[in-house]
Amino acid sequence: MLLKKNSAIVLLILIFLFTLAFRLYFALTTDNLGTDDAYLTYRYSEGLVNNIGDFRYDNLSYGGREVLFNPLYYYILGIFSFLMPLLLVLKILPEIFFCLIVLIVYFISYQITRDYMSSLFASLISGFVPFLTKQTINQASVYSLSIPLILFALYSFLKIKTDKKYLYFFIISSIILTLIHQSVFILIIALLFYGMLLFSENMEINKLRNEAMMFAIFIIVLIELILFKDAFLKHGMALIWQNIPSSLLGDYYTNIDILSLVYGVGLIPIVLGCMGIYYGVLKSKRRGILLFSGLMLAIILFLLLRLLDFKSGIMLLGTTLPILASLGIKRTYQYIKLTRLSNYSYIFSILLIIFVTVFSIYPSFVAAKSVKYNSITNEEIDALNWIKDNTDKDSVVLAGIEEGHLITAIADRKNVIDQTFLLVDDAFVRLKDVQFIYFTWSEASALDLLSKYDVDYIYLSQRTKNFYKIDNIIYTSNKVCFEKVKENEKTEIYKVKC
Amino acid sequence: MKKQRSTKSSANSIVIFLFVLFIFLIISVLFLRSNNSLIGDDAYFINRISHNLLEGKFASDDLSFQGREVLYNLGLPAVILGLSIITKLDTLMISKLLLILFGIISLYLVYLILKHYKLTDIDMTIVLFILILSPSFIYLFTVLTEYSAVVLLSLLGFLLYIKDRRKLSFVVMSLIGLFNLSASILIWFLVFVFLLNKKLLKQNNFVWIWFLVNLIILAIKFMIGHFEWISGWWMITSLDAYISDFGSKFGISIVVLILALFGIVFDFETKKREIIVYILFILLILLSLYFYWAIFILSFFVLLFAFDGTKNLMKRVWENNFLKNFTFFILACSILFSGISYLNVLNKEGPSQNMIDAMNFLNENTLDNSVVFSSIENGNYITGIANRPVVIDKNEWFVFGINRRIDDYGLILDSEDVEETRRLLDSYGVDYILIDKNMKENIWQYDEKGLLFLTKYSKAFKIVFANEDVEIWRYFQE
Repeated sequence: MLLKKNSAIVLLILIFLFTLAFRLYFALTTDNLGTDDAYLTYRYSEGLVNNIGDFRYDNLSYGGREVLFNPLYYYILGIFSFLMPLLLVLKILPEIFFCLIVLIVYFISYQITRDYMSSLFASLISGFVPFLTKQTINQASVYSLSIPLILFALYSFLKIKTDKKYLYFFIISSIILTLIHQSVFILIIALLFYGMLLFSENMEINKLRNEAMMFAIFIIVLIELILFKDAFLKHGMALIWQNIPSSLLGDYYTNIDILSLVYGVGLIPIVLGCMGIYYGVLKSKRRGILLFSGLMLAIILFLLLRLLDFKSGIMLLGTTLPILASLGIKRTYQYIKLTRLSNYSYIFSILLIIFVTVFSIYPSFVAAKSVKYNSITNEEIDALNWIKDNTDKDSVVLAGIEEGHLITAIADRKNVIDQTFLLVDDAFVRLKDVQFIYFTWSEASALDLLSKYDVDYIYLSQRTKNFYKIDNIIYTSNKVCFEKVKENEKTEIYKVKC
Repeated sequence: MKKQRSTKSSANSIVIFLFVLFIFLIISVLFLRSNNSLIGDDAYFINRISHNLLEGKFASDDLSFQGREVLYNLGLPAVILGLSIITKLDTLMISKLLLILFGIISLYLVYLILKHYKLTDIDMTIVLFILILSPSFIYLFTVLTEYSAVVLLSLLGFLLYIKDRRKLSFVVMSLIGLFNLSASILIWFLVFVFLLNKKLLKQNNFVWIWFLVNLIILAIKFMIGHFEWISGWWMITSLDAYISDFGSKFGISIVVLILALFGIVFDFETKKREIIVYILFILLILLSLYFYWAIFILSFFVLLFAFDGTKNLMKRVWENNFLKNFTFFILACSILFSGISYLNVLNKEGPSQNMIDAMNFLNENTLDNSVVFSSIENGNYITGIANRPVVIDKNEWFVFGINRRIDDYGLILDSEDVEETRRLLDSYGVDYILIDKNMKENIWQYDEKGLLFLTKYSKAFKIVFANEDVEIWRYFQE
């Protein structure tokens, strides 16, 4: 199907705006951020900009401890908070960052296929990957910036040979990515796999690309070594698993299976992506396809070896497959042209739009609705604000593991546990203890543990109840040691008096 | 000609600068520690043995494993004692000075070896730069172990060999057995494989004399001590143990390792190195799984490959000069960062002041024959600083009933059955139990587990000393 450049650009802008509108609608029609992790981003962004500098000691998390993280993303969000309220920044900016994926996927696909239509379809699919929508919408997720950056670095890498300025784009995006998120290692691994694929196909790697690759490897290793020196020394290679307690590790590093892949990524990119790999790697041996096949191979291998967490793996696959699918789409158009149906290729386009709507856009819509439904509620915020206004500044508040960041970010109080495990010595013990406190009927045992962590208040929300599968905390009926100091529809707060 | 001389002199100044930098690094680690102590427990063990020698105890130890007949490696303790007698300085000071001396001599030997192979000034600078900042080389000359002498003698032996003074070379190599027998046997094995591969065994008969020396020392050890094979002899199972940036005690920097990988690929493609180099390299990796200290020798091979990798990166024609310069700048920074952060790690190595205080307490407030139970890692501190007998320590070979002792040690730590623990503690005549922070972090995950539970709730234990890191409990035998 013939499409002119200008029309393609107009359509691309429309896809970008449609994706952005879709995401902003769900982000802005909820009062609060979507998850506990989003509030960690809120707190770090606020903390970094207000303190203008280092944030290596968190005096609230786990009652006070050292923390390590890549700071740039939080700085970027924090800086924009000078223009508008931070909550609004966290709702808008990550969505804009995320929608850049649509543009980058288009340009990469065009680089590979030289076909506007296929590239536009790839671009549309990449904006509506159900799993990505579920994991990033209204969550101020760092992936909303790190994934576009990985793709941009790879796009620049592809174009190094034709235009030298892309060498500098590649270098700069690699460095920025290193300061934003550890997923930068995926970039290194993708490049190494690309090298291996070229080697296996007896193809020469371009000299400048080779140099850029070596440079990227060394600079990324150096920066990450400097940023995470203490964590490397403490956890060694186990840093890959982020010091996540073994009992939770299965939730983070689960095995990949076809069903979860179809559900998370969508049927269309999988089918067309496989076609793309077949034509790109086995038939035409295109470097662009080899590069993204390298990335895909690396992700699948690391998921199988449980060296990459499931969430990141599926998200990265979700953005890689549409690129590979672009070649599949192009080949299908070419095939149709060879048949008697050559005059009806628009029917294929309509079918494709229907399929994308049914298998990508609609599931993304459902995913976005579920994110909205599960977002932090006003009642929870109200209870957390009550803690902030009515308790001592040094109070320790016990909350479920999935609400630890809410305690530190909104209530501004110390928690016992949260989901950031790096550098924590006794994460496993704390996890078990907190679970025990919520589960047990023994007041004496609970009081022992509450005193071990100097807990002053227990925060019990509907979310906690769902997580630990409890209706209430049995021993809090003893009014001598526990007093219910706050209650609303979705939360209860108990003061520990003994 | 004039220009050449100035290049030469600037290269020499870089080499001299690197020598000075190395001396500065080891002196800063050795003398700027807050408590002025030696680093690591081996140092205290070696110093104790030199004191034993002074008392004429060549083949017995009153403190390790509550006393036993054993012939340790006496080379280094004897050297320390001899120098101490000559200079009238105490053995701890001699240990520090000796480390510096060994470090300077070893570095100079490396320099002579490189010169023999006619390395250019820039190549020499690369090798020396990577070497002096490599964690295993820093460890060798800042932590007193027998391996500093082993490496020095190996380098000397190698230099003499390549200078065609082979008989003298093997005489020097034979001395390694006096300092550390297992290292001597391992190095002999590597040399043997090398000579066998090169079909040079006949020309180097002296290698058998070295073998004989090893055999004699081994026979004497067996005659004096009681040998028992340790059933659960451990093997390194994690890559972390090899990489200093991942928290290994001594290891290889990750950046040097990446460079070495580049070097191996390059060497393999160009067939630059002979096959024997790869054979020895693989053998060393395998041996280091059981003999952790083999990493010291392995790191010289890694250095060789890392040099090849760097050289290849330098020699290739870069399309972009900015990228080239920046890459080498980053490489230099990474190696520097790795070395300096390792120095920081070394500075935090034990014994801490709190541990020394605990040892002094034991030394001043307990009877000479009071038996102390603690972790295997604390054994040398207790015997070396507190001068008290211990149930178990790291010198586990040639101990009668070692396997049972190791089992009992595990039981004492884990059991929450007071009767069982008391029976075991009584059987070893334990008077004191020392528990430190590392034990709490590494052995028990909970505050009230195993021995920690018993010391807290049983009346058989009474705390007599405590600071932030260490607790000492008096145990009342039944």
